[in-house]
Amino acid sequence: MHIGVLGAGIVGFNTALRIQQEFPNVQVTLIADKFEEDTTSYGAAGIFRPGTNFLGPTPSITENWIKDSYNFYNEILQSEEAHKAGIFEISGYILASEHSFLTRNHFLEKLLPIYRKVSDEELTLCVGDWKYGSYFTTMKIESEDFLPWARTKFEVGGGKVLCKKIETFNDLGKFKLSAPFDVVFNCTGFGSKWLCNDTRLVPVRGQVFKVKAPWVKMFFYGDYDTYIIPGRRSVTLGGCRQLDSYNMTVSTHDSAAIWERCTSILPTLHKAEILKEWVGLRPHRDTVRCEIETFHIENRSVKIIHQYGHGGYGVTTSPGTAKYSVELFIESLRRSTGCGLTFTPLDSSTSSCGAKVSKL
Amino acid sequence: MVKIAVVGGGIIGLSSACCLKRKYPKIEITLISEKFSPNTTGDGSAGVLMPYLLQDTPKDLVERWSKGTLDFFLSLWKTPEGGEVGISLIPVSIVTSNDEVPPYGVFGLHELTPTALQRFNIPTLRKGYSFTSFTCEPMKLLPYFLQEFTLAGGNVEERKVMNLESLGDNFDIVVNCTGLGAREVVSDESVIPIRGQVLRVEAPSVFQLIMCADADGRYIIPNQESVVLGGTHQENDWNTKSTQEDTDFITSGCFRMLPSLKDAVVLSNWVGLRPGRPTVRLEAEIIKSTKQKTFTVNGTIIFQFFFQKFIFK
Repeated sequence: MHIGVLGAGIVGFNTALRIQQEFPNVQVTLIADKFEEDTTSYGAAGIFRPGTNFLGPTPSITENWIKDSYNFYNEILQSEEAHKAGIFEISGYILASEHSFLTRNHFLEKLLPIYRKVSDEELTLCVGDWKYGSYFTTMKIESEDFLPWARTKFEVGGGKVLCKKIETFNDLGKFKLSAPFDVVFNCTGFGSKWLCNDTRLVPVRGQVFKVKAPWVKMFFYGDYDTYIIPGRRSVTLGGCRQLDSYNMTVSTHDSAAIWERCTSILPTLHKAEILKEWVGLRPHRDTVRCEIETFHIENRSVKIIHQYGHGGYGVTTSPGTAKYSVELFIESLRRSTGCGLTFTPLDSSTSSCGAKVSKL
Repeated sequence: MVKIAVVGGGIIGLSSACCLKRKYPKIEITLISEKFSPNTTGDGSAGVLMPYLLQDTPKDLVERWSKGTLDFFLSLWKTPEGGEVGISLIPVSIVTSNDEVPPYGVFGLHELTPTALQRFNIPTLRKGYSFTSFTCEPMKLLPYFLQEFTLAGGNVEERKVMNLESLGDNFDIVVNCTGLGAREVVSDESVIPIRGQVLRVEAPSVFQLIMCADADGRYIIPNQESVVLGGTHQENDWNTKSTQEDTDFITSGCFRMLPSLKDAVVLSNWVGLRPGRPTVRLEAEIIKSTKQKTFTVNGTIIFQFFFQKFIFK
């Protein structure tokens, strides 16, 4: 069997690693035309924080995705690899001046070691007329380190990486591969809009500053769209969420607005050195597409497992969606080939679906 | 016209000099010190706002002083200069194998759950607290104070003061902030060194302060450009050279609490001598100068805020 993964962002690599975990002896090839700083993942602050609107096929599956993702990253966090993988613990505040619901998060409140209401004194830590707030401790996963770390792990595990551009799924039949693909995991994020002609995939444009402000050791969220998130190399100041905007250039109006909103919460940012500005298009979809489709490529039947549309929560949820997608694949193998798989059902809380493939 | 001298250019002396100048802008104030930043004891410290090793100093005084410092940091934190001056808001976890009293004057104090306690990999832990507080690095704060003091018209003299009587001829009030130097300058033998060794490492993904409050507890304190790993507190130990034994003690304990520190590059290994005393001495005394002029030492008018034992914490 030859398994393919399309896309070298956080979803692609988390999926590639998950496949190798379940099928350690199978050849896996990852194909993408954009890597590292050219991926959407790279510019993301990478804070583990699913939006309250994030949705999978059902609320229960959504919760499991988030829980599985958290457990995946947390295991690395507690190990010596954490630093190399770009994963670390971070704490901070989410403040609201009008609506208390903005400070709540039903996903995180069950999951994180600390998620609590702030005290009155804590409301005075930031400039502004803050009425409500939450404090929580979560993780940050920096793609700048995680993607290379994941790639190394993938290649050491026997995985191959190819730099190629795909316009249609039929292009997969045109490459010279060790063997044709039997199954391909489509993790192309925004690229799926064109690859799958999916009109439900909509860009949500985001813009950020990356600044040097080493005194910022906590994150701060203020009301709508204002966030200050420190990282290893810089502090991310954001942001905006512009639906259906394809504008990839930095907008000076957005810059001015973001700068003003962030410095008004944390005046010390006035002295921050601006390193760069960056724009990304979040691959937003009303719900993440996680399903199997069968394609015919060069007279062969190939299963395509879609896994895209994570919006602004790719880093946060991709280990969970990767696990789910691989489970979908294993379930489909069991049904179609009947080759003696032992399998535990979907939505299981175990970390592995315990599948063994006896015939390849 | 009253003339004031402040002896000692470390964190206590400089903050006193600035405080005095703010309150009495027209009075002539002279800061005299043998050493200035970056060569003072405080410069090596991480600068955590947390009372430490204050022995029998009355609790209510320590609380009042800490609150003054906290208010000062909070107000600076909300101005553009806050970060440059060395102030940082930071999440803190303090853990202990004993029944440690919770710290006061911090933000959002909460007790840690047993699950949270397990993350520190110290099996004897029984209690822990999480809260938000400030660090303020003296390496950045001291130059800020010095600049403020001189711009406001303060005088600075770089010399060693052998005794206070010699100053009394030229000054009416002398503020004694000599720290460990008080052993010589005012013959106070109750001031003893409490030796502290710390390492500074490069670990830019550490965003929390972790401290084990046991007698052999180690701590991890992020600063702006490095992370401080500590520490020791050896009474009456004058050795200013770092030892391998203490280095191993510190690193093994810190790596246990945060395994990913193992890869961190060590930037420096430093020892400072904390000026320990059974209680902090904050009092006025009238003494005679060499020319038999009376003058006041450590006048109580001056202390609006008082920097706590930053040293190495």
